[in-house]
Amino acid sequence: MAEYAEYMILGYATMAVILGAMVLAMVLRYRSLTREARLIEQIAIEEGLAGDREPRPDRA
Amino acid sequence: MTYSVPRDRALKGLTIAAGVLFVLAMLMDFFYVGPEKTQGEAQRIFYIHLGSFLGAFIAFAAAVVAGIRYLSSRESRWDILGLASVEIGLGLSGITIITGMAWAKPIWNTWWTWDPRLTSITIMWLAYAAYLMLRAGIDDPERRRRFAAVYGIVAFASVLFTIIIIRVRPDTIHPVVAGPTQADPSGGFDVAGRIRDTLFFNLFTFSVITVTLVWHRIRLENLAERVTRRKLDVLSEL
Repeated sequence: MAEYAEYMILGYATMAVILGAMVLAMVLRYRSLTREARLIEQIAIEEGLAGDREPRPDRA
Repeated sequence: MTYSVPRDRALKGLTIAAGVLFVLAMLMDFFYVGPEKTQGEAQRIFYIHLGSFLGAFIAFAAAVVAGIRYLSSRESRWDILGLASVEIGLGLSGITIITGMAWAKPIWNTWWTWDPRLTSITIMWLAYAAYLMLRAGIDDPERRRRFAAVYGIVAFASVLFTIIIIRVRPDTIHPVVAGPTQADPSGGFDVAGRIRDTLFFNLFTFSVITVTLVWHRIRLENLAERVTRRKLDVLSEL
């Protein structure tokens, strides 16, 4: 193995893990929020409540 | 109700660009530039070490802008920018610290030493970690935003301190790549050729990655706020 290659691998692997964790955390939070949003809408429909009062981004 | 944020073309393009740049940067780090004569393969860490610090600097500087804008306008979007910037900056400065340790072990023969630069970046990281703790500890949203804005501005002193420390303390063993030092007041830029090309490409790549991550984090926070508002609406009607 080239000189000090193991430390280079350690450095790059750590960077990949931290960057990956940051992206993964955002993806998981996004999924959790969309799931929660669907549940809220389902409850609103079942209870016969008013529909979406938020301006939909595509209609704004 | 549609909670999913419409795919913004600019963000999508930026995300793809960041991914492509990252792959190209890694190819340059491993294949375009060769190992350095005295430091061997460990020197390659330098590219991501400096790149991630630049990213953290951009993020923390954005938190200062966000803090000033929030205090002058009281618009919550600036608070969201501040929060997003600090979170991303913390991750990137974490990369800086850990890659620095991986480089220090073969070159300094130790993972860690309380050198002025290493001490100052630790203080910087802890100062921004405390920003998140401060936010979590204040219930009133307006007060939380105001405190976070002020703290985000003040905490930037630790970033400047980290940058300046190696230029004013003669006892540091941390290398200085650019600018004047006590030993060499005339300054200069101590890299050239392929090492310089690779370094600049990595600096640019990490800057783009930082902007992309902060933007995604902002959109996520906006989505979270909309979901919370809608939840409160539905609960109030039940």
